[in-house]
Amino acid sequence: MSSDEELWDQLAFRVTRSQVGGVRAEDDDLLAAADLLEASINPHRGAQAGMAGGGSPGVMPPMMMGGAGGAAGGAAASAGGLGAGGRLADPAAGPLSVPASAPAAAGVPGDATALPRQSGGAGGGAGASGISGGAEPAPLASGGGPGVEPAAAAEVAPPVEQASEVAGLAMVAGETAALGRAVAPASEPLDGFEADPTQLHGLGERWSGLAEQVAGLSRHPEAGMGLFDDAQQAQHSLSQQLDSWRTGAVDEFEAMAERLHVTAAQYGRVDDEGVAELRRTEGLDA
Amino acid sequence: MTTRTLVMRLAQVQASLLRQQDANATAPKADFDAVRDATWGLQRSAQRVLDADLRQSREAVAEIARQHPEMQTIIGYLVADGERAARADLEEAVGELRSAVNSRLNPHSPVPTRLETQQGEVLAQADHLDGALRTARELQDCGTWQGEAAQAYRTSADTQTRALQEYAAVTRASAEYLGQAALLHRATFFLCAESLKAAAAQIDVLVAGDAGHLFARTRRAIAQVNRATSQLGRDLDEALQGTPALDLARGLEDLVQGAEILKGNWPQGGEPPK
Repeated sequence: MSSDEELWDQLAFRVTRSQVGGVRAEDDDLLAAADLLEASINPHRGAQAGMAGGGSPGVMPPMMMGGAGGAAGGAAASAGGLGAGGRLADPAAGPLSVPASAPAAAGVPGDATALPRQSGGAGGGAGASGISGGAEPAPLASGGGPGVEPAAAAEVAPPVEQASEVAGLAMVAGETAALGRAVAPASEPLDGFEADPTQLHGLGERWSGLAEQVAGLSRHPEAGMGLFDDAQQAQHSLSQQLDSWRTGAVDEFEAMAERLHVTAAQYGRVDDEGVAELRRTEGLDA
Repeated sequence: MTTRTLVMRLAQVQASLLRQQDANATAPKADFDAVRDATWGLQRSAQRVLDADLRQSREAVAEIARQHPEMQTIIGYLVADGERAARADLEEAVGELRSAVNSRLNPHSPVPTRLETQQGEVLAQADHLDGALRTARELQDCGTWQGEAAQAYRTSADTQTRALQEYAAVTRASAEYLGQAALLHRATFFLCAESLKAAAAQIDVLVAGDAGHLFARTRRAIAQVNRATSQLGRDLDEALQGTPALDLARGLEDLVQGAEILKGNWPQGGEPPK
């Protein structure tokens, strides 16, 4: 099996493992998670920062943290984003909050992008009517609670810790963080994927159309070469080869279309499952 | 130098040689009708020589009968025998020529027109594939889709597009070769026709030539017809075994063997060609 086929086959696995649909997912950052998580729960850092709230060294329930971030996300987007939308500047703000630097998935309102690094944990986000209910107070001080100036938070944040961010998925941040996954340096782009199932279905339709277009070709004529017998065999072989290519192209274009439809369906299914899981989890937390 | 250029040069060089003998030699784009007409023309020329010899022989018989009435009968038999022999030999020679034309060229008379029609069909297919290729190139852009699966798609789309591009190019090239095959036929027909016309012109000269012996001109005409028949065979053999014909066969083989993406089967997805 070629590497490309493997990629196609791995897609379903990745989509399933990532537990996310629609927008983007982190799926290759497992190894990096442990170190950064340990750093992020350093109990002294919050105290050094001297922030209100004392920088609780305890491990907070994942979805609480997600809720905190989500509140910020909802505040930024003013659209009631999902809970885990906030990107936290300081890992001390909680290892369980994950950023969402990508647009939300289809069907999932709220764009958690471009949140200030210091905004994580800003409780009571306006319009945070999303699943995670962003009105919860920020449990960690370093995130910059109400009344804390973002600039001040930035000043107190250690550079090395600023360089580390919790990367992850907006939609399933709580779960992802709880598993200790999805941690990546802030300086690196998110290594996830982004897909629009509707767009993929559209691509599939166009490949089907292309297959029909090629199938509309008539057979290559079996041209008699008349006087030139020496060319007859070559012409016959060429004619057969061209016909073979025509049918091969039609088959492969249809297969491309089918793969795209299947892929789009997988994205869509996992998207639905991710949303359902969030709703279920949020319901439990509530 | 392309095959087409070679063919045209071959045809034109031969034509220029032939035009030195026949100023009426025309464009090299000929068909079998030109060969048939040239054959009939050569036959008519030979017949004119025979007719001239017959007139001469009859005048000779009449003159001998006037001067030597006692010889009239035997001279009459001799001349009649000479006429029959000359007519039979000429008919045989012309028959061999027509047989050669019919056996070697007539079966291929519809080939160039058919090849040109098929060339048009294949060119239309190539145009159709060019349109499909434009669509495939558009499909290489998968928008905002990102990730490894998207990259795999891009690789696949790129491979498929390049394969389609090669498919279209080979199809168009095959159309070119169909056109060249048609042109080779026409060039061959032209060469044969011009060769026959040249032979006919040489026979025409005999009518006004030396008539010192009975049926001597007819004998020379018969020799010319036989030479024309042999020349026709040589022209055909040279055309079929010449560089243009070899280039045609070789070019068709290279079209398939020279494919870079489409070696054998159509590539599956983004996999390298097998």
